[in-house]
Amino acid sequence: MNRYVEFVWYRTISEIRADISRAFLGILWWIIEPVLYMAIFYLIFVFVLKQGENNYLSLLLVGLIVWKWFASTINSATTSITRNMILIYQVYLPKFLFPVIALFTSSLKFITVFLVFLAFLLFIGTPIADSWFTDLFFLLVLQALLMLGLGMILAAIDPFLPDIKFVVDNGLMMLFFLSGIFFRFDSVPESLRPLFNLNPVGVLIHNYREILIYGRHVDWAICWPLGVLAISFLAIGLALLIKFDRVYAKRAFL
Amino acid sequence: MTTLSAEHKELIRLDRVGLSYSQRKGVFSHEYYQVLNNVSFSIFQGETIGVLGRNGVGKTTLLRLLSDIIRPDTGRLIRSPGLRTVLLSLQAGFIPSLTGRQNTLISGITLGINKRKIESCMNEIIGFSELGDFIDQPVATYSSGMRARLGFSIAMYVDPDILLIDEIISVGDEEFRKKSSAFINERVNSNETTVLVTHNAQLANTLCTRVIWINEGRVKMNGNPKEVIKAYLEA
Repeated sequence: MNRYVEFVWYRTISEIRADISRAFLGILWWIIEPVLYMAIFYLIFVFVLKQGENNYLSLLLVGLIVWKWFASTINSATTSITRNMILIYQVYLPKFLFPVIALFTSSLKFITVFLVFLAFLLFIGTPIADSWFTDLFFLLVLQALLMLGLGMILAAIDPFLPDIKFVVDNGLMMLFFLSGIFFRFDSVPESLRPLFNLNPVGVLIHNYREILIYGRHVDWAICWPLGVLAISFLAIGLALLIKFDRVYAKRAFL
Repeated sequence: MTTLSAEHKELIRLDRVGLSYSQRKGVFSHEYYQVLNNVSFSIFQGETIGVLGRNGVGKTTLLRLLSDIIRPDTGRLIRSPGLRTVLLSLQAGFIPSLTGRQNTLISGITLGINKRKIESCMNEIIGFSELGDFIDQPVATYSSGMRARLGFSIAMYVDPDILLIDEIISVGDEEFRKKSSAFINERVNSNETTVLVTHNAQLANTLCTRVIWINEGRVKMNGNPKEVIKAYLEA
């Protein structure tokens, strides 16, 4: 078992190192990207559409950073087995490790960006709330488990059905516009709220904002279903990856 | 018989093993290729077995079965408990943008050598690979021969119960080939167990204690190297 812990950890570090060494600006891109998006949305919504409010900048940043973590984890987890087929043909490794590595890699990047963002919040004078140390932690773990579960299911299917990548691409695109990244969930008409509450990413972003910007607590009434969803995804994903553990290398799809 | 023979130190037994690959033909249709059919043989401690056969007869599939990467569809494959079988693969898990040194660590861990052992053997591995200062350059800048040399040098330290070798004797230049052959010779002459897959009958003759000839997914002959190779060359 220890062997696989070592494998996951060093593989994660190596992929991050590789990622940094591939670009001249390396790690700076992790910060540049959300800032660029933020600038564009700010330009459109505040200056062109004359919308936005006091905290619009922080609201946007919370949405974009959380979104980036979600999208990059799902994208990378989906192809985590197909990307590593050459390795899978050479040495036996439990297949569920690959989505775990995808989660760790994107999460280490996310944590870096998130810490910079927290520094920014303090810099603009946001008061530190109790819920930063309690509710925030639960929310981060909840999102990580949700992404891991969904990522495992997608990774398990991808080698059999490569079309899943198009489903993921389009699904993420739709979620991007529906998750309240550039608007507040509170501004959604009351009659549509139940519908919007079905979107896990939207619910997560809404709750991060409640905690980080307004110092409130997690709204468990709309968050507990996410916990159930996360556990179900994890159970299904693990079951699939264990079932197909030694089947992937049996197919002549490369 | 369902248990391995302890008396003869039987490590693995294949009992009427069959395996087919599936390949997608259309949206909902698959085509199955029967790769191995009714294959039975055993591997005992200390043997060097040559698996002989032309391209596409299921030799690589057999190695994947022995290294537990895949499992048979029909028949049984019995392994002695805790048996470590490793495919001597070149550049397992290399990440091109990282240096040779960094890749030695990650590739070694991937193959199941623990971190402490790799770090203590690092200088030996680098020395054997003859990469010199190139070891701190990204692997992407290496020639295929250099990559194979590093891969071979790492794989030498895996030290499994059964080493599986797939046609890689021809790695690198003449000098390195001599070195790698010397390593394989040393292993072959010791009490270690090795399975060597090749279509080179000459090589099988010099190295192996037993030769299994695979043809069209079946064991055509299994026994004394000289007899099997003679029949193979006449076929």
